[in-house]
Amino acid sequence: MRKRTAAAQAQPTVSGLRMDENASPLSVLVVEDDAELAQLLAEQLGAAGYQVEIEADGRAAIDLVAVRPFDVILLDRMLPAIDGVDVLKRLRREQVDVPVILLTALGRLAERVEGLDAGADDYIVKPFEIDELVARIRTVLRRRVSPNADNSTVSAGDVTVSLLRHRVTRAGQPIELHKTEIKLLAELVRAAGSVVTRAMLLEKVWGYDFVPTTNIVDAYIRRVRLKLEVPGLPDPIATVRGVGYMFRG
Amino acid sequence: MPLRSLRAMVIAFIAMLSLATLLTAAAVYFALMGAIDVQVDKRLEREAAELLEGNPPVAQLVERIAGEMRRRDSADIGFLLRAPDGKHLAGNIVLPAPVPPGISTIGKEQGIAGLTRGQALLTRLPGGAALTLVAESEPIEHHDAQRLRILAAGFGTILLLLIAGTWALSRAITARIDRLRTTAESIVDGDMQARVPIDGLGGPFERQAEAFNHMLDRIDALMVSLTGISNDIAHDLRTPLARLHGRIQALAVRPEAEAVRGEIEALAAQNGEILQMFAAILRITEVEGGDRRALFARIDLGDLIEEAGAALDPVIEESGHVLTIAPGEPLAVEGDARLLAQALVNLIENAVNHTPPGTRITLGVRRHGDLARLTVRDDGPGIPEEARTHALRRFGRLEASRNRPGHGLGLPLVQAIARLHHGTLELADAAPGLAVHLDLPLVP
Repeated sequence: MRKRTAAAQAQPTVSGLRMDENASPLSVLVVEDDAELAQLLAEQLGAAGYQVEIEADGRAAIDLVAVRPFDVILLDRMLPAIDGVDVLKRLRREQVDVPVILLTALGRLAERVEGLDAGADDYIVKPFEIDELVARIRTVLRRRVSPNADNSTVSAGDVTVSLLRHRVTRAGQPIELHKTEIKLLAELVRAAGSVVTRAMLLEKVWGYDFVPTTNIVDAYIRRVRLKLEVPGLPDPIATVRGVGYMFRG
Repeated sequence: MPLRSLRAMVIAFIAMLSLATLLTAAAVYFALMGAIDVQVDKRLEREAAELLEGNPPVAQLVERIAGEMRRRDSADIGFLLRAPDGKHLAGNIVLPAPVPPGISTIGKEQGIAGLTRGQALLTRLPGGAALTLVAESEPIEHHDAQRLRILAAGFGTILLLLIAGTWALSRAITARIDRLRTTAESIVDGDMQARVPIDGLGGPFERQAEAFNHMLDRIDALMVSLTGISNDIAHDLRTPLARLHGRIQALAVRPEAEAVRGEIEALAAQNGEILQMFAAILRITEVEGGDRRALFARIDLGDLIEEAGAALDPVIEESGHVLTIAPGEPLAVEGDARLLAQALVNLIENAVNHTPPGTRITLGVRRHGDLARLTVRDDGPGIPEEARTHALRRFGRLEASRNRPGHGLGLPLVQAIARLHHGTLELADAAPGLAVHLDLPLVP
C-alpha cells in the first residue's frame, strides 16, 4: 500500500503548528502496517505541513528509501515479515542516515535501548500526541542540521537564556530564575515556534521518564510566566491545551 | 541456638556420640580389668585349695609352699605364711600392709618388686596362721597404660570417623540447601532462568532439585505467558487507543466541532486517563521484570530527596501544603535514579493528593541498621492499620480516596521499585498522619 498525501490538500492548522507556506514541505515516510493509524498520521502530518508517504511493509520501505530521499522516516517497530528494528539496521548498514523515529507500542527500557542502539534518532511510544511527534521531528531535524551547535545560550524573541551563566534577560532586563526554571525556559526557547509536550519537558528538564499525577510542569510554567512578566509586553509562553507549551518567539 | 537448626543438630549429635563412645570405652576398659581380676582370683583360689588340701599341719604347709615356689607354673604367684603372732613362716613375699581376709586388690603400696597391681587372697588357717597368696593382674609393665592407649586409639578412630562423617553429611546437606537458596534468590532478583544444578548422582536430593527446577520451569512458562499477554495488550490495545487518540485530536481541530468542544475535550481527558493507567500497569510490569537493573548506579539519597522536593515545590505550594526536608547524613544506594525519583515523587504526590491543605509533609533519609530509610511523613488523616495492606494492592483504593485522582497503582509501583532495589515499602502510623518508609540496602 502506498499513498501520497499532499500537504496542500490536508486540513489546515493543528494547534498552530502549520509550517511556513513558502518553504518547500519536508518529506516524511511513515512505515506503519495499521492502515487506519497510518492514514490518520498522514492526515495530521499533512495538516502540519509535511509531505507524507505511507509504506506498510518493511522490505518495500527499504527499497523505497534506496531510490527516493526523505527528510524523516517514522518507523513502526512491529511490522509484518521484517521487524522495524531490522529495517532500521539494514538502512544504517546501507549508509542511509535519514533521521529515523521509531513509533512503537513496545515501551520497555530494553526495547527503547535496542531501538536507539540500532540507530534510531528518537523513540516514541504509542499512543502519542501528534504535536509531540511534530516537535520531536523538528528536534531530530535540528540536531541533524547543527549537531555541534553551542546550546549553552539560546534566544528567541526578546528572551535570552544563558545556561552556563545562569542568566536570563527579557528585553535586555535581567530576570531572576531558579536553576530548574532556567532549564525549563531554555527548552521552550530552544524549540521556539514548536509545541513542547509536558512529557518532553519532564524528560529534558527533570530527567523523568514518567508523567507524574500532579502538574509539576504547569506549576513551574506559572512561576516562570510570573517572573517573565514585563508591563506592556505580551506573555511569551503559549499554552497548547491538553498538550503542552510553545514559546512564541 | 534452637535444636531445629542443622548446625545445632550436628553439634548435639556429635556431642552425644562422643559421650556414648567415651562411656563405651570406659565400660570396655573396666570390663576388661574385671575379667582379668576374676581370672586371677580363680587362679589364687585354685592354688590355695591345692595348698590347703586335706588341712595339712603348718610344717607340711611350709613344705608344700616351698615346693610350689620351685614349680615353674606357679612361679608368678607370691606366697606368704604367717604364724598367728605375725611371724614369717614361709613364702617369697613380704606384705608391709595387712590385707583383709578373702580376696582383695593390692597395688604398689605393698612394695612388692615388679608388682604394680595384683590380687591377694588371705586365708585364715584353723590354728590362727594366715596364708596369703598374691598374683599380678598386670603381667606386663605399664600394661594398663597400653590397654588405655589401644582403647583410646580404637574408640578415638571410631569417634573421628563419626565426626568426619557427620560433618561431611552436614556439608553435603548444607551445599544442597545453598544451591536451592541461591537459585531461589536469583529468581527473586528477577533471573527467571536460574535453576538448581543437577549432578546426575541420583538420590533424594537430585529428585528434590529436579522437582524444584520443574516447578521453576512451570512458573517461568506462566510468567512468559503473562508477559506475552502484557506485550499483546501493549500492542493490540495501544494501537486502537492511539487511533482513538488521533481521531479525537483530528476532530477537535475541525471548525464544525466548535459546538461540542467541551465534550471532545472530556473524551480526550478520559482517554488520557485510560492511557495513564495503562502506562502505570506496563511500568509495574517493566520494573518487576528486572531489566532496569542494568542501569543501576550509585545514587546519593540526600540529592534525590532534594531534587524530588524541589521538583514538587510549586505543586505543594499551590495545593496549600507545607514541605520540609529533614536534615540527614550522606547515604548512597545502588539503583536506577529515574525509578527512585519516580518512587519518591509518587509518595510525595500521594501525600499531596490525599491530605487536606495545610498538611505538613516531611522528607527525610537516615540510616536504619544496614539500610537507608527514605521517609515521606505527613500529619494528615493517615491510613488505618487494617487498610494499609489493601492500599499496597494494585487498584487497591481506599474508600476515603475514591473521589481523588489516581488509580490505586502509585503505591504498588513504589513497592515494585523497592523490590527491584532489594528494599521494602512500609506504611506506618506517624501519629498523627502517615509515614511511608522506603528501606534500601546501603552501599559503602
